[in-house]
Amino acid sequence: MTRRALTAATAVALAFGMTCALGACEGTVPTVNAPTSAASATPDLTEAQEQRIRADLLATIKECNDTKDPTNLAQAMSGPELQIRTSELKVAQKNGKLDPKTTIPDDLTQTVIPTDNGWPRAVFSITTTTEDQQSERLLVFTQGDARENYRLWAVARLFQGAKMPKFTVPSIGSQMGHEDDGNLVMTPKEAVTRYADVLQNGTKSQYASDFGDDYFRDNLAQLSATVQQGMERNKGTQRQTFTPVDGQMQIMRSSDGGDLVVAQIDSVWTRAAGEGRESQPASDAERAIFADGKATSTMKATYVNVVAIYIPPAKSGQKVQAVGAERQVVKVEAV
Amino acid sequence: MNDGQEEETHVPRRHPAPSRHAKIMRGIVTPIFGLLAVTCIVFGILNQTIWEPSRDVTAVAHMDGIQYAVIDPGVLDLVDKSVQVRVEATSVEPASGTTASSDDAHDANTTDGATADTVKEPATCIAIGSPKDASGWLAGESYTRVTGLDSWSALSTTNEQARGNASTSDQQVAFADSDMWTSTSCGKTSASLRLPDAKATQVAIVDFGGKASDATISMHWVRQSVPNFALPWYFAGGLCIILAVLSASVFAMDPATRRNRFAKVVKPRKKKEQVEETTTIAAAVAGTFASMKPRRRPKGADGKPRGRHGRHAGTAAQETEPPQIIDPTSRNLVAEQTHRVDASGQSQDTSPRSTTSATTSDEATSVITPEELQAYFARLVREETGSIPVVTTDEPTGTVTEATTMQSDDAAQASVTVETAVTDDAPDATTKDGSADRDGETSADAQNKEND
Repeated sequence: MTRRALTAATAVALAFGMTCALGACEGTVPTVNAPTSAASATPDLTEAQEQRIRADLLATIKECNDTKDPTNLAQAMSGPELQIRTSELKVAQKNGKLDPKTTIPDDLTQTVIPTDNGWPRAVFSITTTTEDQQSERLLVFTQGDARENYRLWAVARLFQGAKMPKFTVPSIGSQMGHEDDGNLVMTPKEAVTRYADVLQNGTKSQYASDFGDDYFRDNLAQLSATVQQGMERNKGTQRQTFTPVDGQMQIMRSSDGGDLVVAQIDSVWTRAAGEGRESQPASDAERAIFADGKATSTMKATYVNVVAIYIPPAKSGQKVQAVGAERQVVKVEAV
Repeated sequence: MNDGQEEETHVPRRHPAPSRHAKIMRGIVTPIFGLLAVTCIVFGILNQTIWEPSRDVTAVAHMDGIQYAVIDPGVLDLVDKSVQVRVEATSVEPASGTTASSDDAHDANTTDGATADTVKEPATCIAIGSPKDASGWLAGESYTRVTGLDSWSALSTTNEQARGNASTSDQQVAFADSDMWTSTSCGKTSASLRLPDAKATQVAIVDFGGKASDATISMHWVRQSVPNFALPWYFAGGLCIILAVLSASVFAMDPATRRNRFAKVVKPRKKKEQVEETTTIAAAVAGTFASMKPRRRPKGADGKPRGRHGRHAGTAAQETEPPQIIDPTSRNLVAEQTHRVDASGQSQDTSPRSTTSATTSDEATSVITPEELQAYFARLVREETGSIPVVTTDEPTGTVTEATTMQSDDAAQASVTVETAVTDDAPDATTKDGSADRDGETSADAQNKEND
């Protein structure tokens, strides 16, 4: 009997307790789960953001192209591309039309978005071929600071048939490289310095065999040889020096462990005419930049070169290969 | 059997005065459970209707003298994926030395207004971005962190100083113009941003454009799934109802009575079997005597066979008899047969079987004398050399057997009885020529069937 009463009392107490516990319940307040470490490896931009940024920048650039006025270019461009495009617009002002090589297609074949947390950040995008079947462009957008926006830092025209390395899809994101990345055939900094040497000295360079043949190198050697022939006829001299620009280098790691390096190499082409002759600009662009300058016996043309070099991993046994380049005279002076 | 059932149902009625235990259970415990059940159901209904948790959750945080606020990752989608963030400041003191904010949110992504030279009115903006971008933007600044919910109506906040150095770039853009944000919304002193699909990796970053005084951040979620608090109440109510019913019935019984009752609940089957057995034995005995009954009973003109066979052939004639006698299970055929064999063994093993001869031999056993037996044998020898009366008397037996065999095709039970009947008739089969083969076949068939 007492046990039964006890059971009944327990039941009553339980029911009463439940009443109190559930009577005015709103549910427990949800708590925030600590963000997982995977969150830090997310791409810095979505593809949509990249597209929006690129579209905005290209719109600004197009505006400048149309007005042939480089004033607002700094909003959309930085680094070597700002120098190149400013010069190109100056040439266009003189010649009345923009060189077709300045075209940047709107559509992309690929974009490479970094996952790095810090700044500066760089996004590599590869466009489609142009409407007039020029080769694809490699665009490099950089964001120098969290409070800055992305700007077009470099454009390199990819060589016909150049074999580009593979990159991780933009939804996963790639990792940016450093100037002194190891486990490669050579570090990016070395590669740019040595390539500059190869450009300057051609096949006589001690590094010539480290680099595969490419269109840019062959073209420069050919041009140099042609000018050299002309100069020799009037006992003149010509000399071209290539100097990598410190800090002007963007590196992206490919999925096979190699690095794609885009770097600025400045070159100065000094041509001295012999036998009391005047040294004239060597091209339409030089002429446009030289403008109304007074020619003397010696002419010094400064070029900005952008080269895209793929450095394969050390174990691959491949040569370092230039895959794209851009070259534009930015200053022509008579000395 | 019927008597037993009646006895069971009458047991509780034998106690007109309930015990003290029953009184407590029915008078106190049952009403308590009943009341609890009603309370639970009422609370359940209340929880389902007026106390239903609100679908709209709005939580607010207050802050003062701060320019930036960050809603932590995981807070935006804390209650639901769809969230509306609203920030408001009573007044904003323009920050000195900082670049002006964008005056127009719609121009957020056009680049021509990126670097503002003139100091414009501060704007309050909300932007959605990734945590690393937010911390990059806030480098070197102090800000308020919204870390979660303190209650359903209050956000929890902490004040922090972001690591890193403030940007010194001359290319700084306005907050709303940054490329890093996936969406932005700006207003003069208040801004509102609706996020239909918030992710745990997203943060919201708020820039009041200057030191904001008496600022609030409110987050509004519309819950798609509201917790159901009514169901546990209904469940508890149902349990209480069951307990009330049980305490009024089973638990109210005296433990001893309940045990007895349970014993009875369990027993009847055993008892039934016992009763069945006893009735079977009784019926066997009764059946033995009942076999004599047909003798008194006027035999049908159509030559209806004895009770045993009649049971298989048809029950029309037996309907008038008491159930104990006609019940098939109450007949012990083995016992019956043994009795019959004994009886016939006492009289004559070779005597031709007929309904009348069998019963007469039974009767004669007690009064027969050696002299009469001698005379009977003599008569029998005479009869056998002459006409055979067996043929005429056995004809109906043969047809009955055949009919039973046909029935046996369907049921094994029947085949068993058929077998019994056939073995019973075996002496007849040996004596007669005409039906011998047929009977042998049917018995073989029946046995085969049984083996199958």
